[in-house]
Amino acid sequence: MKVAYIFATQRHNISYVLAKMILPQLEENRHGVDVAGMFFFEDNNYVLVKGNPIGERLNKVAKAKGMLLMGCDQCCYEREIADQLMDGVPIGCFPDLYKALSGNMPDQVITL
Amino acid sequence: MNPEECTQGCCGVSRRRTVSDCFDRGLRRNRAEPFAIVGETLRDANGLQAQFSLDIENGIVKAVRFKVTSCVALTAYAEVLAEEVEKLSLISAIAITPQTLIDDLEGIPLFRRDRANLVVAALRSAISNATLQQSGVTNEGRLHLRHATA
Repeated sequence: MKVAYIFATQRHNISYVLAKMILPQLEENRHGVDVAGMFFFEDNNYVLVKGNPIGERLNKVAKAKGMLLMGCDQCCYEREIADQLMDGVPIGCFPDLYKALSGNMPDQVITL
Repeated sequence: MNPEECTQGCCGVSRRRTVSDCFDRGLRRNRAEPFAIVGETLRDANGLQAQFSLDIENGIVKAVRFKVTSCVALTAYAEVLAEEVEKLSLISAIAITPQTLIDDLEGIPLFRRDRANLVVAALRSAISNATLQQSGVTNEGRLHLRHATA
């Protein structure tokens, strides 16, 4: 099965669910499913900023596995980080996300 | 208050020119009905569209409105252009280049900066139509559009 994650809520999502559950499992090839992509809303986009330790690990996995990482463009512009994301990580809105995933469609979209 | 008239800082907060702020202001301007002098609706390779309309008084751009596709960078560039053009003569307005917008609005990633070309071309189309109307020329064969990158 192939999934896509949408990080829509803030609270403990990045530092805990992503950094301590999903990411280590992906790094150890034991997540159980393929991840087609991850899309980030609101403050979750800070993980995509160049130099973020969790983000850099995630980007390494994403490159190795062909996984899409994309930040919400309005969220990034609002936080003035749109031009500070890791190299190769795009920003976009729903049309951009659907287009980017169209060649690697997930079976399930998990909203966290 | 008409949101287009809100050109000063509100609530004691200085008005800033960030992408997000320009996008917010641009969304309001985008919803306004066009003025009588309307340029062509131009479309770029990404399928994004832009059209500008002008309110001209004595050869000066009194007010600007636009209709653009709901892309953040495109709307923000359109808003910056609209704000910069108001109170300028048509000659000064047509001299604004995409690079001016790119320089004036920081924070847009490189791969989105092509939106500046579209809004400048759309504005120049409206200015050309305004010039034709002012001179009474109806022969569109005499229309001369400067390339947006010039």
